Amino acid sequence: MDFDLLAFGDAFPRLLPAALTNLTIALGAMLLALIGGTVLTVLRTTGIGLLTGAIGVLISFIRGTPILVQIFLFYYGLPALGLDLTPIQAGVLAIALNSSIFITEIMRGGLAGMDPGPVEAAIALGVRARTIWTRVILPQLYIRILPPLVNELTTIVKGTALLSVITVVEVLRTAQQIANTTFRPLEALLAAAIVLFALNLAISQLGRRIETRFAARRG
Amino acid sequence: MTHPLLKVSNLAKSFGTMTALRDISFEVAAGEVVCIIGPSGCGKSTLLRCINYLTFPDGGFVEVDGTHIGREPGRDGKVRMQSHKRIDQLRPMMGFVFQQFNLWPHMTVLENIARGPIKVQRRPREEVERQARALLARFGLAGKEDAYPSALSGGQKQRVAIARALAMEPRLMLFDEPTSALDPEIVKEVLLFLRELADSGMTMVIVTHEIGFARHVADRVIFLDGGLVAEQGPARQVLGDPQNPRLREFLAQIHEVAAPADLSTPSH
Repeated sequence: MDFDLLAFGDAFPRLLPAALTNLTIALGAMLLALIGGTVLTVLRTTGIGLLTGAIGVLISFIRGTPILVQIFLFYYGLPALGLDLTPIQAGVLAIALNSSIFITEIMRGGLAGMDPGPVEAAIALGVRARTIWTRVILPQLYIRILPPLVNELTTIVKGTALLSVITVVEVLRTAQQIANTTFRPLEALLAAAIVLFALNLAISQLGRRIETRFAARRG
Repeated sequence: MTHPLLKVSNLAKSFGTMTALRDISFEVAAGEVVCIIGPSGCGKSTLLRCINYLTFPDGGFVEVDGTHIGREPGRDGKVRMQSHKRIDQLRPMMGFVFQQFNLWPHMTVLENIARGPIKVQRRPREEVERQARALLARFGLAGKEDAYPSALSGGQKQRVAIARALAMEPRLMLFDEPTSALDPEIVKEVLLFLRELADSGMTMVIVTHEIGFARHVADRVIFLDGGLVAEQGPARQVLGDPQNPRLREFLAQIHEVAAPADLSTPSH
């Protein structure tokens, strides 16, 4: 096998700045997905039939279609609806929506296994429902679901590479461009894989640290 | 005194076809300690939870110091249900202590105690923290301020839970089997502590299986059976000379199972 170490090494100086694009997209999508997932979770507990029904349909649609298709739908669909979005914006929204669905499913599982006692204690003290959500339920829930949540966040990072199909110049697309000029696709793609892997390694390590730090507060 | 501190009238609650409370009426005077006893499933816990509307009763009324909570008779004779907001406002008049402590695991001991007064009563943090530290010192928990509940023993958790309820400066305290989740050797510690609280003049309604405790600490004992008050009266009378055959049977069973915790020795 012929592997050109030099071409492999040369790919990194171009891929690293591109990784910044992936990171920015990922952080934006993570933030939106966490907010979206949390809002969906709270809405689903309201017991309003129409609302929970609509959310249910959305969940099964997002879970039942490939994220690549969803990205295309956002890229071509939102401008058609009159929303003038850059490819990056459309991509962030597509990934964020997809991920909110998975996060709300993780949160629902976490909620189901949670002890209702601390909530009752808050009710007994006269704490309002809204404050119970923000101060009692959600903090405990986030601590509880941290491992699957970190897993979902790494999925977001991997999803950013898919935005290469809607002209976003991120790590994968940069690697393809390098390959087009060097005719060394394997080297460039392996380098791209390593760069994305490094991003996710950092995220999962950070997740593990937070988990350790909050271990005492899991109860 | 013109009216009792707690007045429960004709309280009723069903879960589907299962009737938990049929028709419960009793009163508790300020400073009184009342123990509620009865066999499992007799509605003791439901009764306590209905008093502060953790569970909404289907019928009857609860008045604390003359103020209705939850269901309220209107001037036209119709019963009106108060808004959740109003019920939330009234709940802090009653402190509630749970069998499973129900501390907030993600908050330190100090925060567990201070959050209620700060968030609900909008009292200044500085004053609340001073009060919380004083409560912890009084409860033998000085130095545990920054610990998380997971680092505490069962007895310590229950004392923190009691401190959390007391920090709201309630008019009365409701205890739902406060020692049932504790290791046997810790039960006595918490019971002695409850006795001290009773001696300090706090009005207390305690659902308990600790007959020895009820005998020594309660002013009055209420025996629930089948969702009704089957017998009530001064502790010595109800426990020493029970009239109701079900109560006699119940007391006999309890004595067979476990000797009551010895509370005849004062704690200090």
